[in-house]
Amino acid sequence: MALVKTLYRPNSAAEAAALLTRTDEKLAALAGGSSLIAALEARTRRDLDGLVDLSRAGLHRIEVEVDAVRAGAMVTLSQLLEHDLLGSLADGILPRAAAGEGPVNLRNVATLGGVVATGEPDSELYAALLALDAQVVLHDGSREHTLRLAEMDAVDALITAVRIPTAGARAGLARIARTPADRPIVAAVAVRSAGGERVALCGAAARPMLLDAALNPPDDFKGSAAYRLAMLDIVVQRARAEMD
Amino acid sequence: MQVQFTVNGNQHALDVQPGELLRTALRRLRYYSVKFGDEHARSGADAVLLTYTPDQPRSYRLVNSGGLLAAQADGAAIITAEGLSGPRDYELHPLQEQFVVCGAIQCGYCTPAQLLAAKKLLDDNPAPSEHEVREALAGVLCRCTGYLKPVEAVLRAAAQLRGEEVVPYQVHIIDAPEAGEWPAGDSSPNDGGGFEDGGADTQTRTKTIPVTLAPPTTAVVNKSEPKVDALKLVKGRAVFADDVELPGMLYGGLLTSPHAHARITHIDASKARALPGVHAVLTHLEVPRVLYASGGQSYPNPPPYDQVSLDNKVRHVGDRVAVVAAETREILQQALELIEVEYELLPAVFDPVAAMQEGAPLVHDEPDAVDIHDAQHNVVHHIYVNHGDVEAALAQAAHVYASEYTVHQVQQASIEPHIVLSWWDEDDRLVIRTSTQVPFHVRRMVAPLLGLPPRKIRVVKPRIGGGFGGKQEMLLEDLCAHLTIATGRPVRFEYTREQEFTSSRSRHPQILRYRSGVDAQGRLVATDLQVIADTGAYGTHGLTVQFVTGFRGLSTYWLPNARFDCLVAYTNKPTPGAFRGYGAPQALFGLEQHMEEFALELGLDPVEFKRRNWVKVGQTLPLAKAMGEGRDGFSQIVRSNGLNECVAAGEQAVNWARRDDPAWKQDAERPHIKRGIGLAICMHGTGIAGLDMGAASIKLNDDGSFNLLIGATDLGTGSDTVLAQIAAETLGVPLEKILVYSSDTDFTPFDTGAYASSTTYISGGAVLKAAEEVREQIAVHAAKHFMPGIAAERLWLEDGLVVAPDGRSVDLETLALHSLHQADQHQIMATASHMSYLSPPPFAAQFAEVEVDTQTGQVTCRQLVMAVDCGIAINPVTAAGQVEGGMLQALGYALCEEMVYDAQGRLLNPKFGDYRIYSADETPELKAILVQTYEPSGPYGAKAVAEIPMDGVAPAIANAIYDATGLRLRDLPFTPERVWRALQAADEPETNQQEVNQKSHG
Repeated sequence: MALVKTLYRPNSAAEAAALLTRTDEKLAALAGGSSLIAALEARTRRDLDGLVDLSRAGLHRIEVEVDAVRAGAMVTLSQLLEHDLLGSLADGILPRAAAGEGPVNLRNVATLGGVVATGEPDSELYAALLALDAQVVLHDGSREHTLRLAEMDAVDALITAVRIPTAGARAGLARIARTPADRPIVAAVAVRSAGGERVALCGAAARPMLLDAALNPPDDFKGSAAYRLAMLDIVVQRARAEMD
Repeated sequence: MQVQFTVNGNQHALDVQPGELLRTALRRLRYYSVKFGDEHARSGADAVLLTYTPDQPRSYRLVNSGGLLAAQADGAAIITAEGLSGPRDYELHPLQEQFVVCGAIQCGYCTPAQLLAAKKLLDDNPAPSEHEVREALAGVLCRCTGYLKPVEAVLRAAAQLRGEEVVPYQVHIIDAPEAGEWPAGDSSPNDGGGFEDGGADTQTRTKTIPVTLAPPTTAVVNKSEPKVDALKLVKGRAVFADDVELPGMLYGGLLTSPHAHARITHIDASKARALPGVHAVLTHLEVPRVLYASGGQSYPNPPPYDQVSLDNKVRHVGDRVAVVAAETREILQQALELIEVEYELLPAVFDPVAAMQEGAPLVHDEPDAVDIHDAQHNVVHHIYVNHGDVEAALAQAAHVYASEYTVHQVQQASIEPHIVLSWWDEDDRLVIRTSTQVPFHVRRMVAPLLGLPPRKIRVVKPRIGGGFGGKQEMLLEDLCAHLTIATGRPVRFEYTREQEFTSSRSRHPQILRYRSGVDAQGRLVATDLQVIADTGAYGTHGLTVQFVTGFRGLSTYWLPNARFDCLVAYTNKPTPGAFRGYGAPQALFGLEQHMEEFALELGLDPVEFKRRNWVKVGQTLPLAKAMGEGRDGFSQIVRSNGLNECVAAGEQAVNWARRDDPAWKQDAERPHIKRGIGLAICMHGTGIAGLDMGAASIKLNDDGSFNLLIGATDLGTGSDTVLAQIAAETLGVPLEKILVYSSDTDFTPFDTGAYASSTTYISGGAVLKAAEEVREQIAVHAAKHFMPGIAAERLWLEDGLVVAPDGRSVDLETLALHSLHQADQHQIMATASHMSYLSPPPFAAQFAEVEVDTQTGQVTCRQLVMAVDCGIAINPVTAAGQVEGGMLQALGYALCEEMVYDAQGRLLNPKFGDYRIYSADETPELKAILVQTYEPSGPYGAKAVAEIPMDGVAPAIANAIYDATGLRLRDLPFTPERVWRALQAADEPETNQQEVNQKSHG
């Protein structure tokens, strides 16, 4: 039994966002739940009074815009990589990066909004979104606003969508892991477009980050900070080399 | 709140709490094929197909039901394995059919989820590639199979669904050129024969018929028969420990220690007891203090006796503190959190060498512990075995070589955790239904802890979801039973996945020092093996595992002089125990590098050096007598050895010649990628000589079928099938005429249990004897009533008939009806037991092919090939499955599995993912080759196959890394950073040297 006292099931993003601003209850957004439910079941999270289930909030759509695709926060990773445009964008970097999130039964549940909200340091999909210069659409209960993912350091509002620019032409990905399908110790995703090149890193800081940000690598059983620091140059070089 | 969904087309409306998981809701609705694997929904054992738009059949998705709230499934349509086909045995989906045919099912615990993953794939893609199949199965972890057979099954089912012809399923078998005797005969330990009279009820004496092998002339044995339990497993029926409902059942759970070493100064359970729905809270104050050793081993259990059910001291993070029984899981959880414990923290020690120093914290300072070698220095055991004069031999040797290795702690990680249910039956006897490898040991061992005589206890072993040694323990049964005794109610007690890591068992870490000498001809004259082993907080299996390390380290190569000196130390870490291989993987990780290093030092070809020295047919194993797993052993002579053929077959399969091809060894495109192939020679045992005993009963039924009742414990390996095949062969009937039941201490005769690679050989020997005796009884009845004038000894059983040389015959059904109802009425039935003073070693050549990334240290295994001499394979498909699955577990040991602790002794990775076990999409190519020899002492020529696949992968990988890079790695596991650091260290002197050279040139 996961620690959930109350489950709210709002019928719109605005309603969901409003619930999340309540101060009398500590609530969290429930997207796919692939990590949140587990944390509540395993009791590694005890700080929540309830969850706001986003499944009816109308956040499932993928809309193709002029220079970007706007994907709703509840779009699952499987839907993302099955989408014609998103699946093939920049040498198919999104499906490749999404594979690192986990196997198909997790990708069927995990959502784009969830990946952005949790910002796990070894999320290659998050890194790919950074390298594509994605934007995050947030709803604070009264209105929506948009922020570059690279500028978002904490999630303090409901994520309703992610805007993924379609300018990316070439991409490369390099990773080091204990086994081929394990989550990476370090990884780099590089994307080249007419506007230039962006490289994002996993295993370099508390969240995935762009190459020019300050390095503060995790130090854990998968790899020491010193090892990760030494490896970052190598994966960056290899990710870039894939685009040549 | 109320939710509605359909499952397999059935509409359900049920009340759920907001936090209830879909998995538990489905199990409440009796969809028992949906399994618990872990709290983090990373095992995939709970995967189901789910959609919110059932009108679009392709919209179903595979999701882990343990990672979803039941409320999230409101309005959904769900498919579970129960929905794949109709309820009857003959109604099978092609996937189910192929899983049965290919031997894709071992324990069967993850099979329902694998089938659903495959169904979704084939619904979308009727002609998937192997890669796509592996991707589809990747999220369902399987610890048994190595994934090869499930992948083959899916590919074949796809072909079948496309209407293509599917060829019969094949396993790669080679017969070593040897003659043998068929079947085995009885003999005494003095003349070295295998079949020793195991009890008063054993009267059979077998005639031996010399035959030449290849192919054996058998009808059922040595055939890839489908597993006898395959249908119920492939249909997802309720067969596991947790798949029952007991009226009034309570949920039991364990409060574990957050500290590595502390005394419990005060414990207050009053708040927990006051919680409505709590029926019992037990602490060390309530439970009698009875010392025991938890390892499931023969009487008298090897020392020390250093455990009690609940103690006033905790010795590792995860140690037992208190137990609770409550109405629901939620109340249980709340109650565990309400128990107030005051601890006096004690200094802790985590390193076995430090633990043995003067002044180290004492893990066992209690005065009542029994048979600890030196508790004042945390030394549980000092094992010293000496054969010949090692020092003199080394002093006179032409060359001496010494090297040191360290091996780490890994966990069995069966997907089904330890789970026990206990209740009082109508006769006031305590029934314990438990996921165990050792039901008979459990009954004997748990009785004194409960204050009950064994006759008041009945232990039932249902199907088991994998064990790998982790369930060769009396681990939870005492706690669950204490709660039933305290409450009078049925109690269900299950470990969490975290507790599986912290509070269960694991593999012993060791430091191994080998020192060997050779004469001028390169023949070994002596090996000295020194080991320091870490047995964690308790001594269970600590003695016998290290005995096996010594025996394996000093027996693979024939040694005129050998010495084993081993210290086993306590530390404040979770306790190692039995884990497939049982000391051998540790020994061989050192030995197989040590011998290769020695050969290279001598300028000899390592394979030739090993061949010159490995034990040959006719040679004795000098240490066998001195090292009998904690007691005196029995001398052994090698009677079958297919190592030459194994090495030759493996070299060919792995394409060994590529080692000499520079263009292959160095990737042309990627200069940092280097390739190599390594070999390790393996030798294991087959049961514990003079100790392991199995018994079997066979009974003839009215229709000419037979009940086979065995205490032997099939934990997914297929031993029920193998034993049934032995019975069917001997009784001349097809496999379906044998109805196997295992195991229940009330209904089946004794068996030591599933461990030490013993079941086929030992329990199989009992089945053979019982079947022979039944055959004799049948012949006597047939001769008397159906074939007057002919001697019973001249009749034989074939195709369900009793046949006479003159052509007369009677079918078994007629004979059975006659013997039960018509004349000379009696039950044709026999019970036999078997014990052997022999433990004939299986042999194997393990090959590994790797790619090493010299910039990052990442090692990728491309191929594992094992050619194994397991004697005659009673069932080639299940034997090959053992080899494939064992190799993959062993690859985890080599590359990615590791229990890692912080400075306070807290395990940092007690969950799947962080503790990495291989998934289907990253598994290297696996090849199992069965090199059949005929073992004269085994039933139908069989030896063991269960553990040897675990033994050689790590040293083969190490030798392959050496072949690729010239780098010798002596510490497991080979994670990227560890390899990178070794590469850096190897580069440094070179760089310094270059600098020096440059300077001198300048």
